[in-house]
Amino acid sequence: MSSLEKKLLELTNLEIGIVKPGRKTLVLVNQANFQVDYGQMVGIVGESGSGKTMVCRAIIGTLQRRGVSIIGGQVLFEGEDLSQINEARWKVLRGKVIGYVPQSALAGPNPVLTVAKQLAEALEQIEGTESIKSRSKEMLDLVKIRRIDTVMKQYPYQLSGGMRQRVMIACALASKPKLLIADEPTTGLDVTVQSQIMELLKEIRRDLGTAIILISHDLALVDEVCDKIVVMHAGATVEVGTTEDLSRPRHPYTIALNSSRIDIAKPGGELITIKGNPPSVGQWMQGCRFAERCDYKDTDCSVGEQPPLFGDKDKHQTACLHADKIVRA
Amino acid sequence: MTKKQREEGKFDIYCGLSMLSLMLVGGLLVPLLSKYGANEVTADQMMSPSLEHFFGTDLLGRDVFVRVFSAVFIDLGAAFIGVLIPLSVGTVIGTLLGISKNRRIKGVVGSLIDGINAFPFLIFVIALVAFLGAGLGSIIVALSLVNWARYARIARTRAVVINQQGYVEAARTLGYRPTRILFRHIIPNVSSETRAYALSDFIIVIIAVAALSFLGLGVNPPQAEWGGMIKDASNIITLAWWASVFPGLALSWAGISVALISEGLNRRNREGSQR
Amino acid sequence: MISRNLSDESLGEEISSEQQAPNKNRGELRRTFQGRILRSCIVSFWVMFIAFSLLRISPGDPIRLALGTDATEEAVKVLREKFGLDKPFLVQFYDYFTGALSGNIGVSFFSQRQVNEVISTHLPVTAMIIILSMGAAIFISIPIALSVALSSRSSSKRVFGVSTSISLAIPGFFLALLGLLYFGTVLNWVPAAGYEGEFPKNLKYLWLPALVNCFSLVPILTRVLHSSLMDTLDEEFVETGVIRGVSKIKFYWSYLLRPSLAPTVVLMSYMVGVMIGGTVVMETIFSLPGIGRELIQAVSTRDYAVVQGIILVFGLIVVFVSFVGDLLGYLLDRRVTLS
Repeated sequence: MSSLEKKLLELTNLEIGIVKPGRKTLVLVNQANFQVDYGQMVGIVGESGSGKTMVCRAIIGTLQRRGVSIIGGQVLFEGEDLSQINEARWKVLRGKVIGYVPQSALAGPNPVLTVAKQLAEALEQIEGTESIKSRSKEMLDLVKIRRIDTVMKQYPYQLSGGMRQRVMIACALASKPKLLIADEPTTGLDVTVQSQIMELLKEIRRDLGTAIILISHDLALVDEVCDKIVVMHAGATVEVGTTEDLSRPRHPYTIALNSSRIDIAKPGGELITIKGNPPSVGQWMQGCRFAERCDYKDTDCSVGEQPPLFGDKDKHQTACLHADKIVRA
Repeated sequence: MTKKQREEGKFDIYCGLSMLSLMLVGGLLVPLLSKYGANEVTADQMMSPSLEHFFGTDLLGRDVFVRVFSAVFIDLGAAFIGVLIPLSVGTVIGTLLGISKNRRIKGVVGSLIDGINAFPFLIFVIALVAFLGAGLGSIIVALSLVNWARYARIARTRAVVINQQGYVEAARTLGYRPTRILFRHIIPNVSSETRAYALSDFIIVIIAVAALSFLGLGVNPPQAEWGGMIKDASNIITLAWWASVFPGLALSWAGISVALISEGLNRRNREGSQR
Repeated sequence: MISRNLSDESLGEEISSEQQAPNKNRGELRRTFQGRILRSCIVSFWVMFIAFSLLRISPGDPIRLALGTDATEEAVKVLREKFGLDKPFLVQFYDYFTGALSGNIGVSFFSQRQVNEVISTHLPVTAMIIILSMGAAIFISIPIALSVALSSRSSSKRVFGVSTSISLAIPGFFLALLGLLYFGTVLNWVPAAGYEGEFPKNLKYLWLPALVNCFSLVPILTRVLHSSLMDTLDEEFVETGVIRGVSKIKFYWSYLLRPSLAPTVVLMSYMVGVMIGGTVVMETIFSLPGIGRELIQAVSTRDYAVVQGIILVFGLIVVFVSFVGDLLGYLLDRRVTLS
């Protein structure tokens, strides 16, 4: 398979910001670069405010609602630039070819509609009306919900968080999307329920061949289920590679993230935290935006632009001037 | 954005205050300076507005301009007292109820408050005035009897919260007398809420006072009062619209000025709570 | 480490706990429902007590006041006995209370009419005005609140805030008078007097009072609806609606309005009291044969039995409507808890 054929989504120097006439443009994301292959499971990791949610909204086309827009770069989805298409085309792609599972399971489903109606809404865009009911049941079965007939009649407030999220996943899968975006889908759920949802996502990828972008602030979680990991910091991708690659991180931020993982902390040992806070939007410094929090920085780090990702696409890429030094050390 | 909101709030308050003071100054000066008395009957009946009579004259030839301004202190005064009494009584009773530990008293008085609040406001005031006899005094008594319960409900809810605050606990451990804690620490904090409600209530009460007079239950003639003036002139509205429209405008003017002050304060508070 | 195994037991556990949820909800619903009924009953009791007390605690003798100063001692005594005012206070209340429960809320001082008969003949007009004004208020408020909530311009919110607070300050009876002057005298759209009780015909007499009356409700209704719409717009499921690509009408209805409606419905039920007050004034101005005009007449003739009865009925109506409103709000949106 050539690289062109397996590539589903490619972000090139994506830049997102708030443009207001008469004011300075507020840049939220720039230098976002990564790609997703067909059927691949990619995790995006970063602290809150790193721009990971903005990137996924750019892919699902819901930036405009909030007065935010793509101000530069490309989002190529099957060769089509998503930053250029109009609302009519979005209606075809959004929620159909590209599915979405919302952040908060508790607030995601519409509180005044039953499960059956929510599924019907998702299905009626693509199916004939007569098959909706049986298809709905199929979808609920797919996400491993039992006693389907009871659940169909229930309202979201009658369901637990895990069940709600399963319903949301069923809705997102209704149109058999090629890409599914899950934005921190397990926020506010119990750890056991969290792992069930992750397992479900993995099965979906395996059985249906859906590519999945999983957004999380938890490197351990992503490490466990994804093929590829994208690390974001202050609106830029700082390290991209396979899960394998990222077990030997080269960017100081990834190293820090890795060592602050609770799951691999030594018993009795000190829990390492990343020092400082990520720079606020609009207050990015010159050069590398991680420099102030970095142990490896030197004078080169604080000049010019945020360093781009070095290395070949498809390979392990790092946006650090001193990556080689760090690996050797 | 937030700075702009603060500015807008300030603007509203200034607008309302200047509208109100203009009216109060008019109420003070016009009856003093005018060559006509408020109740002076002349032969110039139903004259349209002119330089001689700014707002025209009514059926009895009385100058509407002078009458509108002589009513300022009657209407606003009655509304002011009609808000002040229930505000103070309701705040104290509600606060005591909120911090009381006696469940039985809380239940009984609490449901009495709900019972009073259940009656439609204007209807209840009308009925009370009917039993007390028409007149300004009865209106104030009736307003107080009805409205204290609304303030008490607000105060009760607030007092429960305030009573658990750290500084009240602290005052208690310092051994201050309960009355001192009540009046120095709890009531001032509770009343910030009831006073905010009083401002919007003031608008309702101004209108209610005028409406009662309009229905023939208010001040006794010939005392000039907006509602009564509108009522007297409503029969001749097709012949002399000015005799009822100007008192109505004065009433709206008073209401709007208070509404602007209240809106401005709200806007500022909202902005403050967002920070 | 996060467990990789999706064990069937844990999934089963999650689902079985789910199956109990509806029962739990039903029990909870019943409990809150019962509590709310109990509270309404206690409040109704107070309403009865207050209405009853009015006649007994008023300064001066109501009978003497009603009959006038030139009434003979004999006439006062007869009427006093007839209304049981010579009995002890609590006995009187017991009689009144049991009478009211069986639908007897007194007899007019002057005519021999039963008070409940007076009310049942005049209630339809009042109810019609209230229903019409509330309907009109909803019809006017929804588009205003929606367009202000969806508008991105800050100036529209500013205009909205100022204009709603100003319009609250304009007295309804003044507005009614202006309306009567313009639509009645100038345009001749409203009959000057008279009334026909049949349904479609009576609209000719009722539309203007209802319209004026609704202007006291619209500012409050739009404000509450606007603020709950703003809350809804912040919710994540709105985005779900956008992503699902539902039609515009469906989006406005089931993703914006439906989830915002509960507080508005509860508010509407509380506003019935205000509407009743406004209706009394409207009936007097437009000379419509409703309970309000009956009340004012009873007040001016000092027919205290009728005043008392009308007060009681209005008080009970408000208690009942706010109960229904709370319940409806809860059923519309289970996220709302009963107060």
